[in-house]
Amino acid sequence: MTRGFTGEPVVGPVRGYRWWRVTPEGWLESPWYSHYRWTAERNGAECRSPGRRLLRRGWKKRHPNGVPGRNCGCGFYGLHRVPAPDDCSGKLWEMDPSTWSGAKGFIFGLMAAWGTVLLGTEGWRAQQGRPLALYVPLGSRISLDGRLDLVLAHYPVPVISSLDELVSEWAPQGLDLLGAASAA
Amino acid sequence: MRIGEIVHEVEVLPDEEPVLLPEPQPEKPAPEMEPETA
Repeated sequence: MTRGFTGEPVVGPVRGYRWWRVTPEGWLESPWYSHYRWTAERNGAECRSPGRRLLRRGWKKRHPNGVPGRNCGCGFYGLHRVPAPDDCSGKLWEMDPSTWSGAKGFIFGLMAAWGTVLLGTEGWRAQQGRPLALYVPLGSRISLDGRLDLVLAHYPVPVISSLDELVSEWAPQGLDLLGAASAA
Repeated sequence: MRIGEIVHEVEVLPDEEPVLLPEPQPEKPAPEMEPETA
């Protein structure tokens, strides 16, 4: 079931865990659908549904408040919790961060999101956002092959080598602090 | 990535410098009404 728009703005960005793909030049990209290249300060999500141009009325109906649309999959994604190893089914978003972050071409971390945000029980989809912190274990491949230095040249964000520390210092607010649980 | 069941839609304001609101001004007494002339 989808709830309604509250009309009450939440002040300050919402935090969520997510994955990025790292290019050889040290840019962070969305790893799943779009390969969108992130900037350090402000990124706006776009809907890449083919119906956006061909069936504009239908697209508008699915996106009454723009991107992200409730009945679409668009927007920047974030999770309330770190995926547990038991949840990791081999799909990209369910990869175990302690095993995969920094190991190959992916980095796990947190993003800040704002604008229109659709809050789900496991995470959210958002209109705008930026990288907030990255989790790169010591000795990981991207720190040894020089890509981490390139990443930090593009994105002045904290890099944390302990997953526990990442969680304790940057954990997302979750549904309760956003007031969604009480209203749902 | 699944975000689960959508339970809420919110508008989130980005990080912004705090904006000082102007101090409230004391209310001026309402001017006395002049009697209407008939």
